[in-house]
Amino acid sequence: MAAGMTPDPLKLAIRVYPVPDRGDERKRGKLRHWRRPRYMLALDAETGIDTAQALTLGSYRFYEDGICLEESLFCGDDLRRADRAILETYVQTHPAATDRRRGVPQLRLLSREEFCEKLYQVAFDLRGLIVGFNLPFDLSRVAVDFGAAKDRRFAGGFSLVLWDYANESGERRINKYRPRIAIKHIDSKRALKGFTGTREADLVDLIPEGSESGEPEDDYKFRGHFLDLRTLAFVLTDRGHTLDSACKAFGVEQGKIAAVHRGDVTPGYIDYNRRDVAATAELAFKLLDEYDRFDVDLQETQAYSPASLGKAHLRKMGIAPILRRQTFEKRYLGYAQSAFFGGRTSAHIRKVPVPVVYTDFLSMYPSVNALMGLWKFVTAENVCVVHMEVSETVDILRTITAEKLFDPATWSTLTAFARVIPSGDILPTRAKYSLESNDYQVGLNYLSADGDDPKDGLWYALPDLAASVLLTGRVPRVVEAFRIVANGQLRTLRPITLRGAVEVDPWRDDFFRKVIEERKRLASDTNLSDEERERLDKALKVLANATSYGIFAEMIREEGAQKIPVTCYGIDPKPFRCEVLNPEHAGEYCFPPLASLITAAARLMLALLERCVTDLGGTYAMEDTDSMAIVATQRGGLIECPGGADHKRAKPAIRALSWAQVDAIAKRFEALNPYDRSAIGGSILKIEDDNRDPKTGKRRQLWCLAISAKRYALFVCDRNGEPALLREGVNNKEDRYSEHGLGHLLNPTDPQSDDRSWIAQAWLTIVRRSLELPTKALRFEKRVAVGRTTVSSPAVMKPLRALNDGKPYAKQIKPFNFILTCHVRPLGHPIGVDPERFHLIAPYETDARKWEMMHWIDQYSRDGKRYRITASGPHGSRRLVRVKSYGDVLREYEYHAESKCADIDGKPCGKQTVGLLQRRHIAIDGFDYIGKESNKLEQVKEGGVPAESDVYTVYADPRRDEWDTLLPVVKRIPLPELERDSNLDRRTLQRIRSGRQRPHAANMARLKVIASKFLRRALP
Amino acid sequence: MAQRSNDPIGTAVRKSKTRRRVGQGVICSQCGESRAEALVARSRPKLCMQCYAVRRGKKTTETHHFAGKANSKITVEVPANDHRTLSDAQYEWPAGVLSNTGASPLLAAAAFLNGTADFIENLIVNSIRYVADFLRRLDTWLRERAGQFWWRGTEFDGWQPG
Repeated sequence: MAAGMTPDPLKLAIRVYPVPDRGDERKRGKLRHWRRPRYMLALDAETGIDTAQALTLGSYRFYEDGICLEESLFCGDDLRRADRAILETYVQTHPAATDRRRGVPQLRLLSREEFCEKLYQVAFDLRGLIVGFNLPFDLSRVAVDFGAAKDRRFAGGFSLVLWDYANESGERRINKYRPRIAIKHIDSKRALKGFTGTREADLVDLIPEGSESGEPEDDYKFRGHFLDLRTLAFVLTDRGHTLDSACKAFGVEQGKIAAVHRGDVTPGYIDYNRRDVAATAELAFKLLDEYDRFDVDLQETQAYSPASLGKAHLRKMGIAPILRRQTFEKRYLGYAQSAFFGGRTSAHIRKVPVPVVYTDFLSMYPSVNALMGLWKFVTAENVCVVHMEVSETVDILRTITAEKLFDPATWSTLTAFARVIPSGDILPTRAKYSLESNDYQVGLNYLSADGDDPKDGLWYALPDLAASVLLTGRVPRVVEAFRIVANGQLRTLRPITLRGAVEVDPWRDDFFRKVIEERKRLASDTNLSDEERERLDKALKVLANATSYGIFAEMIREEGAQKIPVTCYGIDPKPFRCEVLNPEHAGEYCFPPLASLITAAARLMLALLERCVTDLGGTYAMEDTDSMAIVATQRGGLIECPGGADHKRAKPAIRALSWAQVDAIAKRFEALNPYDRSAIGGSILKIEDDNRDPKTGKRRQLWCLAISAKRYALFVCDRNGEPALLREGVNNKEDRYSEHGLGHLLNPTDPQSDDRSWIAQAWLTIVRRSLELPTKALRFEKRVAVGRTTVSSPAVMKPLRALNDGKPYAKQIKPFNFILTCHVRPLGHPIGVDPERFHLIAPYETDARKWEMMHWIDQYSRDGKRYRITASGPHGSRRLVRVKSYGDVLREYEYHAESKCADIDGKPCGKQTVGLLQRRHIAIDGFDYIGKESNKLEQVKEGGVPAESDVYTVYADPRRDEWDTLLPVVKRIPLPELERDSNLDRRTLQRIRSGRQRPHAANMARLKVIASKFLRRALP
Repeated sequence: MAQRSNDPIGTAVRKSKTRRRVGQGVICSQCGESRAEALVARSRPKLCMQCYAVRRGKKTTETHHFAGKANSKITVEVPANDHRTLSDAQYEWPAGVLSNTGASPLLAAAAFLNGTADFIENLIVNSIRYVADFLRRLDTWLRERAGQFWWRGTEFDGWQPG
């Protein structure tokens, strides 16, 4: 530990390997008789622009074997008479775009009910493919009612009622003899969809698909074939698409056309809708054609991510998941899971623009996989645990140097885990580094344990320990270690051809290596058309990424209303039991030892780069998983920077490396190139193309301004010192300014527009300010910062129920409607509310002028309390909430603290900290076991779920319950003192002190502080 | 009968359900009849209407309302399997022709023409196409047993085309 540094006590969060009582490993559903349906119905619905976003019009096309046989329009039940007349005239004057010989030539106009009948016929009777782009939204437009899904598979989702009937007295009634459609939102690209069961199903509906006997089966439920092209495009490209971008990416000829949407029905708008359906259908054929090239045993309607595709390829190669083909002691899974951390990412020079060379590792995860030889574990007949002597582990670590790590053979010796008692070692730590952000972040810090008890030691993957040795020069205190060893090879292995073009033989090829090599070979293959080369390149990239990491770390969160008993494997040899609401179970190919080794090895690679840079006296501006912006200029030299150890003009400075030095560092990484040099020559550390002018190809000086992890921008400066951000199509191949933390906000100048250039505008202002150049106030600074999210679950819908009461479905806020969300400014909360449990949402409104006049609803209040908002004034009042303006958000963004790092004095980085940061010193102050970090984080970002604390599952280990030690102290504190300092009422405190009530996490933390003060006072 | 349907979804549903009831890719275990409409859904082993009738000692022909019951009382005696196919085809007639609820003489005439067309088409499929199919299968059978050029050196040598 650096002299004079006092470590900050922090409670850590450690990942646990949970096994819910109802079974940790669910069998993959048997694929029965799947054959792509001959029939397909593509649809798209348009809505009004009011809060209800009710159906106005829509259209569908019905296809048999790719031939369009029917096209019709449909309209909402309560469409204005004038709008209906326009539709009626339209269908009389426009033919249907159907097959000339076999199709119905007339375009027809159907009511919503008639359309739903058609939908039922195709989706349920015909078992056809229902295709749309963002299907949940379209299906909820044509529904007549909704509820919470009851089926466990769809728990936490909606069930939509599409089919109703008029009874004898003309009242509409739900048709209970028809299924509902259950939809469970996963994230913005994916949702589970399926039919629910029906009452008294017809015998013909109980005949399974593809049945050769035609025999009904009592327990058979047809779930439907709902194909959301948004999901399939994501599966095939690993990126989110709009209909427009997907059409462009897959060469759809009849792509989307632009239209100004005012919610009224016009012939132009009908044309627009029909064109969307045509584009959707063509896109479906293109995507299915692309999907078929993979030739995997996976229904396209069941493919939810590139990982699904990756897993299907492993199955095709005859590779069963490790945990399903053998027994593996679960405590080792727990050890490995506790050693799991995400990628290394942080700002190192904060809010000071510095010249950099931007570097990036070639396919980081596949590369470290190949270096460590992890493929042999994936294909091993048996993976076993071998205990290592402490001395053996220490010997390995003692020999770690940069030179040793540049020997590829070293990496394959690192497939081990060790339990260490940290004592100022640089290790990944997951903690809530600041009270403000209140979320878990992973930092690479000096870590020290409180005591010397081996039981308090933490498990780390050996690459993390090697990185610590590399950066500190000291070997951590190891108390226990084990290695994983791969024995033999599976006999079930089979060679496959990836996307019909690249042959992989799992017996002799390292899959990860082969895919990356073939990707590079493609670039020079003249036998392929440009389009085919591009598609194949993308496909291989998706496969490499999908199979090289995520599937081994996959944990699936279960949604439910009841607590479930779980057996948890953590850092101790014996598991503990607890009950949690949303437990996780391991994904199909989940194998924590591999997941932890892969990310640890990636961190080691960055540590090695850091060491190379610092050995030359240099430093870096930021790092992000597989990239680093190294401070460098053409000739190198000193650059003024607060916190720097050098001096320039009597001011602190840092040393910039020369471009030649950075090139030499990159050259050193050539030794770690695990690929066939004929395919991929050179170093795996790439000097990115961003460092070259796209027009001239000449090297250029990049600058970097980093604020905190994942918040940075790269830019160039002209001769006059005027900055220009790196922007796609302007001066670079890609945008190089982060949208992290801003992406969820609506465009402040045009809320309906998807144009994100306002973020570039904001970044440029921040950059200019950091360069002390004049800036103009942004036009939108004073506007209320509003984000858009969707009503993705019944829980989000709950506070909106009051707005729906007594209204017909069309007028209600429906599932998957957009809603508005805004963020309350500090001290802006209304009087009397708990800021932790207060979050405002409002029905969707595109007119920004109305936002401050509307009623906003507290998502947490049981009765849906309503408030007004304002973006001016210092604070809120009883019914008025002071929310953040875009200016507030951007200021917060600009001053967002990198709290996992320390300033040059060793204090936690605060909002005002600028300059060179350093690692914090952390003392372990206990820990919590948590589930996966990425649960619903997308929704948190969008504002759909107010706090991270709502999405983490904490698994309380009764053996490490600090409340047991805290309670006796709390009992000793006089009640009036407790009442005064804790803000809790007397009755609650009495219940807590008597042991009848356990305090909430926040109250527990408060009581802890009071108790420690009391003890300090009480102890002599 | 790839004619234009006025309700392609309805047609597809009908055919799909018929096929589902009898089983995918199933044919009559006795005669090889493959038309889903002609197969008896729950028969074990799978049989067509005619073979099913033979097994039960019933006659293998049925009376078919040529233009539909609403249009004419005229019936023709057709094989039971063909009766199923012909009846199914009647659902493909333009809307209102089969039901002819207003007893229009013109719709009745249209029904006769449709019925005739269906009947001729069925005749072609079942007689002329049947023979063509038979010859193709026989050729395959002979190639397997007597070689690729089974006709050479036989009295069929002169029948070789060209």
